[in-house]
Amino acid sequence: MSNMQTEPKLTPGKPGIGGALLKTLPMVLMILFMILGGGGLSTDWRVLAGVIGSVVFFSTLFFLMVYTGKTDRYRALAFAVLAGAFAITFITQLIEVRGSMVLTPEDMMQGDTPFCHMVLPMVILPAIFTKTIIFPGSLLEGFASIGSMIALWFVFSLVFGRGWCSWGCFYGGWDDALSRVGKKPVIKKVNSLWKYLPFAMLLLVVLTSLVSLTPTYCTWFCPFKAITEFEEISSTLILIQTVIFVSIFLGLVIILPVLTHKRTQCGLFCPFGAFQSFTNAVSPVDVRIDTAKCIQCNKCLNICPTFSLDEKSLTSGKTLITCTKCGKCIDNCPVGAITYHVKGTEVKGKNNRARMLYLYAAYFFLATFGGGMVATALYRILLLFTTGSMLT
Amino acid sequence: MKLRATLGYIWASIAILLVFVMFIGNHFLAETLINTTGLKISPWCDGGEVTQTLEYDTYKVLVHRPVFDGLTEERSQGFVQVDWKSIGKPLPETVYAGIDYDQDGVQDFHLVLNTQTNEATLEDAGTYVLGIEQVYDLKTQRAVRIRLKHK
Repeated sequence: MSNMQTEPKLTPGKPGIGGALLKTLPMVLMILFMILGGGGLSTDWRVLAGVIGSVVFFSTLFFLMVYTGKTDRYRALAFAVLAGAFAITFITQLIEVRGSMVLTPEDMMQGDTPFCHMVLPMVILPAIFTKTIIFPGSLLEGFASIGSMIALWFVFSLVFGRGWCSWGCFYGGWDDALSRVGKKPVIKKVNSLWKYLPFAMLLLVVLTSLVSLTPTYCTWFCPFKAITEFEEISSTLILIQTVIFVSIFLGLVIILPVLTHKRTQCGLFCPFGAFQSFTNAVSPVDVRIDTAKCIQCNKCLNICPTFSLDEKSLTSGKTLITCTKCGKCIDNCPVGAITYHVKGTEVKGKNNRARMLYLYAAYFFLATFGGGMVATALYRILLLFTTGSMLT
Repeated sequence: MKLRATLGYIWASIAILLVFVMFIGNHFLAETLINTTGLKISPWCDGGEVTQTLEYDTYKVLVHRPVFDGLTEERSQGFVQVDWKSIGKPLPETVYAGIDYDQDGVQDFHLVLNTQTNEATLEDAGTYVLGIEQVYDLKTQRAVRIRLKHK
């Protein structure tokens, strides 16, 4: 405790307003370039308002990150908005194109199922053995094609590792946001053995997909079918599958995050997250603890939303491989002992250069990936207010 | 240590460029990936390659290759997909096709499809033909999958 009183609370490289604006400018330009995409501006004021709203939203949050030195607080807001915007955009588009959220056998046969990153661990081995992708999507055409998503995932995994799960995944914002509801968690202790469940799930879905040549996680478990698309209940089997995925959605994405203040779907279940953990080894930036500064107050262990710190971390200075680089521990460390860290460099308290390098890449990804979705979602909301329907 | 630190910073800086390049060149990279690897959609999803085309006046019948594909060897049961694709005019109320899916010169089954009700009937089916799996009403065509036993 004495350390806590003598050490000042550090905020890394907190610049003045001018400095923060200057550091924000490149990000604003990159966001503008990507969201506008070289296309002309729409004459529909609602589309225009959506685009402007999205650019202002993401630019403001980045400015606040730079100005306040806090990462997670603003990342979480952008991440949650991305998740909500994705659901609005995806569902409204589905209803416009197909008339409902129901995925029919015909849609699957015609390759009309958008590919998402969660499928990746299941398709790799079958692709190696059979030279085919065991997913009813499109290789190159249409929205979220398989080739496009694999290329995105590959590059971003090199760059962020499992940072994907806190900066890019358009589902993760759900349990991230809900894990912040309420002042104190109702369930304070979660057995640490549960954190191995995603790896067990990963093994299960990879093996069963390999044997059955179908993406078993999508068929049986994926909770996010509840906010995207799902098979019509036309048999007892599909009814059972529906009960399973709805239960997982309600339990792990809605209820448990509120009760535990943890990202229970991401930290205790998601096989893609487990798979993505291995890519942390190649990404250039990780999160480290300066053991000389650490006062072992355990605050970081308690607040880590994905169970990625344990007692050993405090002595080794390293997070577990499941770290999603959300920055929550960094923001909340009372003595500034935790930092973003460029691999190969010394760990010495907070390192703002490493943080900014990471933020430029990660936030640009989040803003670009989410910018279009937020613009569309805002447009849909404005459409609802002005016409009474989100559909065109 | 200094070299490692320099390399670390270089890699972290390249990462920012990579993200930018990835978004700009996503379609090119996706195309390169698919073309280089030669990956295709699993025939269990899209029905497999079309191996025969039977031409009629107002429509054509596309017969896909029989699908028994397994991980390392063929499965004991599979299916063959038959599509009816209209040419100009809508499909007639009833369409027929005699199918020799293994192309051994002997017709394996005769398929009748009512395009109004999407009901299909199998006739003269051989012992390796197990039955109709499902009729699919697709954007530009009707498709029927017929369950098969491996010969």
